[in-house]
Amino acid sequence: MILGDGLMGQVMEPVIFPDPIDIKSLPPKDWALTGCKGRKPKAIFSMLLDLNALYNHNLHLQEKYDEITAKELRWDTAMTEDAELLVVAYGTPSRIAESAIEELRAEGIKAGLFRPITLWPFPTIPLRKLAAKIGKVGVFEFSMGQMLDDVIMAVGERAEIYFYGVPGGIIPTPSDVARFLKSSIKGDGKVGRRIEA
Amino acid sequence: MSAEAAFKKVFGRPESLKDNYTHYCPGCGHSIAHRLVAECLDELGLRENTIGVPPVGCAVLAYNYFNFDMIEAPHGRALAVATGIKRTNPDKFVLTYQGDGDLAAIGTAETIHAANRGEKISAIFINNAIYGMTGGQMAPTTLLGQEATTAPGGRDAGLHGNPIDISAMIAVSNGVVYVERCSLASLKQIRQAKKAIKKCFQVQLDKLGFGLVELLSPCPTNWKLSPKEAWAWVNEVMVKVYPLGVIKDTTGYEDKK
Repeated sequence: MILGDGLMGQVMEPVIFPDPIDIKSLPPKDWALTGCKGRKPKAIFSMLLDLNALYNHNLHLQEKYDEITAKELRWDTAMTEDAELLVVAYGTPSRIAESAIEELRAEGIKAGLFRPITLWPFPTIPLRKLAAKIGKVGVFEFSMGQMLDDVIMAVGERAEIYFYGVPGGIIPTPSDVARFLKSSIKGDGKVGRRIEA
Repeated sequence: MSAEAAFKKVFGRPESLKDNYTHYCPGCGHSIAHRLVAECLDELGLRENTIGVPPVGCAVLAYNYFNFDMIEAPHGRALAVATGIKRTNPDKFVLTYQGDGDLAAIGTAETIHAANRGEKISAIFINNAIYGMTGGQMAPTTLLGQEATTAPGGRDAGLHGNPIDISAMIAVSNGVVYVERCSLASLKQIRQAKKAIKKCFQVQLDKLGFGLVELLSPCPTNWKLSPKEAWAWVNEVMVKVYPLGVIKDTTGYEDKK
């Protein structure tokens, strides 16, 4: 599942579709429904009414989730080496945050960016380590605090957490975000708010 | 003389039905409808080339009874799933088997658009004018005055709206070739229902367009009637709101009435 936002949803760019694949050229799938000629009928369904089967299926799904968590975790960082504040943002806000960080750096204020690429699985441990090292985290997102909960769970009391949530309607400028970051570094609570983990 | 030679087998389980007991209530129309569908598939030699889509509702477990490939769809979306199957596998025979809570309620949009696109699919629509599996709630098809757990004084047009006749609604579309309404509440009608189902299947085989057979189906449990009373209710009350017969037929077949 890919989560978009309104901004991404309204971007229109030319795309080139790859050549269509002849599905008959693909290797046969043992689950595919092709009509039951020469074999027993198959059914594709998601409901298990047998309690033992359901229990075992849930354990199987959990194994899958664990495997996804281990293999599919993705995140990106920028300018974190010397940062005194770690900005956590994803999607469109991460682009604005990056510009804000560059504005601050031009003034000699050092902030860095932690950008979760996968929101689930959430990069809990990488964020925890980096946040503990830097000591201050500024969460900026286009909501009143959805990723914030993940950040709180990851960081806990290892760093101060500041939050700047912007609901639909207005898209903040890099300067707006820069003001939040400055306020967070000072800890004066003028823009955004301090979160008690 | 051996028993095989002395006796001729005149009645048996269609190959398109598995040898399983169903979970349907006594007097329910589903068992009859299953058998009719299975007999038609057998007679047209379609079983091994068929992919069926059951509903969410009482017949959600139809894959335990039908002896051919089946795929579950999200509630009401059987015709959307069937569209994908048929368009990617035009050589397969694709049917949906849906109740009124599926086809005529949550799946109304999918039903109307699949029909309007003239998808070459056969839909078997089981109408019992109530939500069966969930315990007798009012459905869009519930008759005026009919009692339901969510319409304790009976359905009231001003409060709950009117019973929806989705078969008549889709019949106005050019993509729809054949729509017939039968009942499962008399031997004569059951025989007619089989003819209608077979014809509906032929429409798909001849790639003419969308076909649907609506079957008025007794639900003694949720109507709070005996099986016998439920048959009478179909024949005396339900058919007045949902009249039996051919609603649309542009097949050009000889038997056209």
